[in-house]
Amino acid sequence: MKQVIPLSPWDLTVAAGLLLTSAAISVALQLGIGKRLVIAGVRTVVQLLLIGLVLQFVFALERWWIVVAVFLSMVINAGIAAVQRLDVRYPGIWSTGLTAVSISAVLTTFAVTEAVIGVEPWYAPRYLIPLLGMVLGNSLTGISLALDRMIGDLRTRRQEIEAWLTVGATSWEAVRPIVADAVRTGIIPILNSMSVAGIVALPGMMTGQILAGAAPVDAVKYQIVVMFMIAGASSLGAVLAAMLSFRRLVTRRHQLALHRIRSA
Amino acid sequence: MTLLLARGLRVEAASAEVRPPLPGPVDLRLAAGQRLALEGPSGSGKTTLLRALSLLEPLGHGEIELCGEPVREGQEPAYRRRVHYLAQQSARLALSAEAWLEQAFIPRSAGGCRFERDRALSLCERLGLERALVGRSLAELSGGELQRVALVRALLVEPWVLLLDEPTSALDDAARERFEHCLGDWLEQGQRALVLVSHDPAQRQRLCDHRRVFSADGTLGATEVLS
Repeated sequence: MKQVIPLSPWDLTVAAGLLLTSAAISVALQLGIGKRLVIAGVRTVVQLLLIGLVLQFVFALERWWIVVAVFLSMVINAGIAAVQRLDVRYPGIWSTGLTAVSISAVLTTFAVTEAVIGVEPWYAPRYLIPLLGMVLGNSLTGISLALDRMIGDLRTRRQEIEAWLTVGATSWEAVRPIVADAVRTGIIPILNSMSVAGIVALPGMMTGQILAGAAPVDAVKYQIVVMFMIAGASSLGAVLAAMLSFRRLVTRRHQLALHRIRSA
Repeated sequence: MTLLLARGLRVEAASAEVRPPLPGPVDLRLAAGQRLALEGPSGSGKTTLLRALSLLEPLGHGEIELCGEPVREGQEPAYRRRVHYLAQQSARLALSAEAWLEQAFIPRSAGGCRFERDRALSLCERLGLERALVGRSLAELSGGELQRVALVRALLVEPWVLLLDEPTSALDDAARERFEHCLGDWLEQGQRALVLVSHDPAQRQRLCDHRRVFSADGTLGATEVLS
């Protein structure tokens, strides 16, 4: 394996100059996002440096409980982030988000590390943490899209749902099309990235492995596994999110309980 | 004979949009053959009560009996075919009118009942709708056409009790008259009862034999005979 060319602080400063392009566009077109751009840039630097330090520390120690602690905090943060993106919420939505994120991410990540890659020991942080990160980043998007669509459709399609209920449909018969649409919405991003992978976009993980000196075909194999893992997690997350919100926004008496929906 | 009995109904937070709650508790008895008009200023809870009677609104309190049998959890779908609520507005779905009518027979609670196209078409004709209209999308229908298709859908289900919310608000006089005729025929077919919300006093007079009036604060007055 060839060595990666290390980057100096000066190199990073030069890269930061690229951000000036965005800033210049913002000024020229009066977009008014200059300040947010700077804040986002600073956040990127600080957050990534911090996670870099944490990962170096975790990799060096290789203790299972440290890995588990990092793992849990990533999952919880993803669950919170999935809900935070929503404009509308209902009581119990945080537990919906956390449940959907944790079940979908944990199942698919361990399926890959244990059954596909065969990581030894099971908690090897070099594999577990980056893979979990990729799964979470995508499944939380799927979950928040599904939740957003579900809550929005229950409201806007209320008449359609009630037209079913009034002719004796059960709540599931009446809301099933809305659940299906919500799940579909949650899965679309990963469907899109799977179909353009390699043609339009070179996925980040694969690019990273190639830059790090891996043979492209090996990198591709990993990318395929990761894509399928993400697809599994997004679908599972979207289904869980839709089903759990169904249980919160529909009563056992086959009624809509839209009064539980609040703006964030 | 009491067909529908509601005791202590209260809706704390109505499910849909800005609908007023029903502070209640409302007691309501509907005898077979009775035709009850609900009156009151807008926002006083007429629609909420109709929706509560069809168990579409989560009840804060209260229970409903149909023919002396309490409606238990899980029986709502079958109950809603018997006590059918017809909303003031129907969704303009991207669906043909015929498919929408047929929808009424898809739920499992429809049991052995099948969609009878001929019956649907003859009801449409009696309401002054052309046969070809059932092939058109709900989204293309005029307000009055949609309202009449919705009544056909309600009648096809053969409910015992109809809860009608401003059912003729978009109809001209001729169509309204046909509508009332169809409703009258339905009422004559055995044990039937009607609860009507209508802004038209003459229509209430024609269709109903009793009335109950909501006051502005949401309390419901006693049953009075309409003469």
